[in-house]
Amino acid sequence: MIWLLIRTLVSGLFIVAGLLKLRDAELTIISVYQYQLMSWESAGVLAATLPWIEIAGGVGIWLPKLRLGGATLCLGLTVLFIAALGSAVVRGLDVSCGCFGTSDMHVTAMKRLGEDMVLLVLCGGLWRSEIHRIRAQLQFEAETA
Amino acid sequence: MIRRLIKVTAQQVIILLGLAGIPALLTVVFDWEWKTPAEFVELSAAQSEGQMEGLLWVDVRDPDRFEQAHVRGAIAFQEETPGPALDHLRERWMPGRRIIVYGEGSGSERAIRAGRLLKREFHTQNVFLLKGGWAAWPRDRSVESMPQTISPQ
Repeated sequence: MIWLLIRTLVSGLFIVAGLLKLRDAELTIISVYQYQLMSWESAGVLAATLPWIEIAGGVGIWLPKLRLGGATLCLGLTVLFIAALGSAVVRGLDVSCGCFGTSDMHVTAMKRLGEDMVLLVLCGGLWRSEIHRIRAQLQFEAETA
Repeated sequence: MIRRLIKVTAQQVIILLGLAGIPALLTVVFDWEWKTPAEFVELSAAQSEGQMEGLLWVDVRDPDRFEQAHVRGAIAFQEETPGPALDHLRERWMPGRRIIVYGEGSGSERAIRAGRLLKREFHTQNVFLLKGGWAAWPRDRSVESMPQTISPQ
């Protein structure tokens, strides 16, 4: 039951974040660019790709055959977000996250970093449970083979 | 077992990335704005590379913040109503003259957006963003300081 809740929460967060980024493409590219980690063109490619990866991760969590992949993507993206936000904080950049389109323009990087840490724990838990599930499945297949 | 786990994980991730890659590729090819934004420029670089008197300053912060203090000669630019600021800029701008946009800080979306708009409107690449924004502007040289008098830091 608890995993169902976590799965719903994580999946919902990533799908909504992806859709909001797609809705305001210009803000997404600006949000990526303002981290000053890459050129505008590279930020454009990342900003065009990122929302779809988020949606794929969020949807993947619900597909039994792709659940581990979905959890891995969500976990990887969360680590990526934390690294980017962390680097912005270290460099003293006053960036808004842009994670949820225009709705979080005024959320500070530090607050978002805290929220991402919570998300990291949830994604990590989900990923770990999927690893256990697949491992048990593989063991069962090996024993019955 | 670990190798098989890694293999299964990699397979699933690749499938999902492949599924995400198709619309992403279509977005990149057909539906993306590739217009370049304004580039970041350090205050010291702005001073050394260009004549300060030749610079046009654009302030995209809130009006009340602009009224409190701003770079002398800066034009207040409101994203929602850019018309007056654009008219003002058109009167003062000429080809080759550099426009420096600043917001509250380096991560000012308003400044980046305004920079892009100005590049489009004036058909010029001479639009730059002040790195660090208003926060980088020396406090003792705010509204009272003539840009011409600023020496490199």
